[in-house]
Amino acid sequence: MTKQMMIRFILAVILVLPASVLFAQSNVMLTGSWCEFGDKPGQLKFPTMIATDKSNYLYVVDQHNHRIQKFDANGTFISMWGKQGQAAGEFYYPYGIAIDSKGNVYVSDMNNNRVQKFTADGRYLASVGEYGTKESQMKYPRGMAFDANDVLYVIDAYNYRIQKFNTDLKFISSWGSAESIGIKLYMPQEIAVTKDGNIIMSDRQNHRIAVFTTDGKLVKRFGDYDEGKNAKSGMFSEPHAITVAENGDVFISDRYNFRIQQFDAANNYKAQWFTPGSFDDSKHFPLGIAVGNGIIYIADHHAHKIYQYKLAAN
Amino acid sequence: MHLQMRTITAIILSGFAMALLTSFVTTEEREEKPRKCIMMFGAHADDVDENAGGTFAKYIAMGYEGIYVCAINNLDGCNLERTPWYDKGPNFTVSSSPHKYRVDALETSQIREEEARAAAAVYPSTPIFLNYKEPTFFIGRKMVYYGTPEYAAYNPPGRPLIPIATYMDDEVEYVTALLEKYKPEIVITHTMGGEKMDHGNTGYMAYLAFKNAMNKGIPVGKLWMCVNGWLLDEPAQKNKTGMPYVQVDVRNHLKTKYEAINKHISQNGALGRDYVMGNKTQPKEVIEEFITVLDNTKK
Repeated sequence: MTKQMMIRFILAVILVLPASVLFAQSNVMLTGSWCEFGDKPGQLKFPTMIATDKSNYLYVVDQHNHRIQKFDANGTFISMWGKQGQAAGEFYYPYGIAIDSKGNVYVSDMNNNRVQKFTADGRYLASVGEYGTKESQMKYPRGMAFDANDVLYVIDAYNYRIQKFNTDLKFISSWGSAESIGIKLYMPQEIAVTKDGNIIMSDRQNHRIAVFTTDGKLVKRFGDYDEGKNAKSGMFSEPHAITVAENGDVFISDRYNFRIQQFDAANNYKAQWFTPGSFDDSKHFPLGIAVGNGIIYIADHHAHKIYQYKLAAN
Repeated sequence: MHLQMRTITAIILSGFAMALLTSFVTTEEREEKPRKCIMMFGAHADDVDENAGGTFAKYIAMGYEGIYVCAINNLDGCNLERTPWYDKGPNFTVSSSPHKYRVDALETSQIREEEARAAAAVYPSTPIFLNYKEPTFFIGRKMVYYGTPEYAAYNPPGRPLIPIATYMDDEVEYVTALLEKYKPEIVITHTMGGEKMDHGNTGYMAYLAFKNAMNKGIPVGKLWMCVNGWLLDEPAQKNKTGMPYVQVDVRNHLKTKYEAINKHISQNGALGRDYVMGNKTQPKEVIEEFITVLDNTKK
């Protein structure tokens, strides 16, 4: 093989090698994907947030079908519940999802301005919220997360606050306001609890991540805007979903960079990988993210798919 | 038997009396005057303020009830390159992203509705959202148009497109019911034709509903249309088609108008946006002009 041929061969390999594989050498590997556009069981329409429970089931907010779908860890359809409406157990463009220590499922029913609670098999249990600014009222709730004490944190988007509820959906307290949160966060979308018990949120339109104490004191922020295939590590273009692994690592869907970034518990950058369909924002859009049992799941909002990645044991 | 006859007679007589009374009440209702209410049908979230905010503010200041109607559900048209609190740092920084941050349809609709609620509160007035579908929106950074497979797949929330709704009797009745509820003395809307599709058809829908209300004997006053679009073109001005019949001096109400416009933070480059962004330049608006299209007060 001549030197020229060798160069051509190397170039060809680089060109045809999917970006995900290039990044997979860091610590992840794409191990599966499932779902397609549709309204049948196992099909999705514009999925948003996702969550895993202790039994490694995956719950997907199937937003434009106004329902929740449950899959096993390999993508086998288990069950689904909900339809478009305002009655108990119905949804109108749901967005976020969280699971408490007993395995009950909580859904932020965004355009109904409420949070609903279900058993793991979808039986309706309780609800809180209506449009408004008072305690327990909401304006388009987004992401949600539970802390170690089973306190539910809800992003109450256009009230610019976080509301805290117990597992009976009784109001505990809230923090934030247009003046205090609004100038610090711009369109926060998703929320998670860090290993040391702080609240971490995607500050989407500021292209950065913010960490608060559980009562709303700003601890730190990291990241800034960068976009494109050469975007620097630790920078973002509209970071969206956040999830925290058992070891404290933080995974963030960096949606217009079509990548997932991994940070350690101290928020130091560790690794990244591109999601399928990189930089084709008319067909792909990595949005929801969940981690469980060494597996990372990504919901692609535009491709109506769930991607499964295996984490290396590091 | 006599008792039965008397009872029957009494029932018949009371029936006549009721019929007479009903007829009297109906006549009274027909002669009922419009309420001191001004209703503005804007296509999008900021159209009330942009097109007739001064007039709206003036009449509300005079004691009229203000009804702030937003016809379209604003799935499109949200720019988020600045935060509403951009000038209240020090914790906020505007990032260096070159993108104008178009946001997805659902979020756009939510943001613009919130802005409209805030604007309506300035006058103060009651906001009403008719929720007719926007014909375009963004999924990610891609514009999606009505009629495309992407639009159908997304299946955005809302009533039919407003140009289609104008063909539908139920939809015209839906808007007529709003006129029946408030019985406004003054209704303002966009001019028909020559403006953007949603604007022109909002005007047409308001026109159809107003005529329908008149035919039903609902006490509505006058329908004014803004002097915009083709009415401003030279031929229309020359032959006086575009000459306003109504000129409202709004110089003492511009502060309210701009305050309302400034609530629409997501409208990059809008009149109020420039104002709120710091240059404080106010256009030399003294009057707002309208054409009286229907007048139900002249019988």
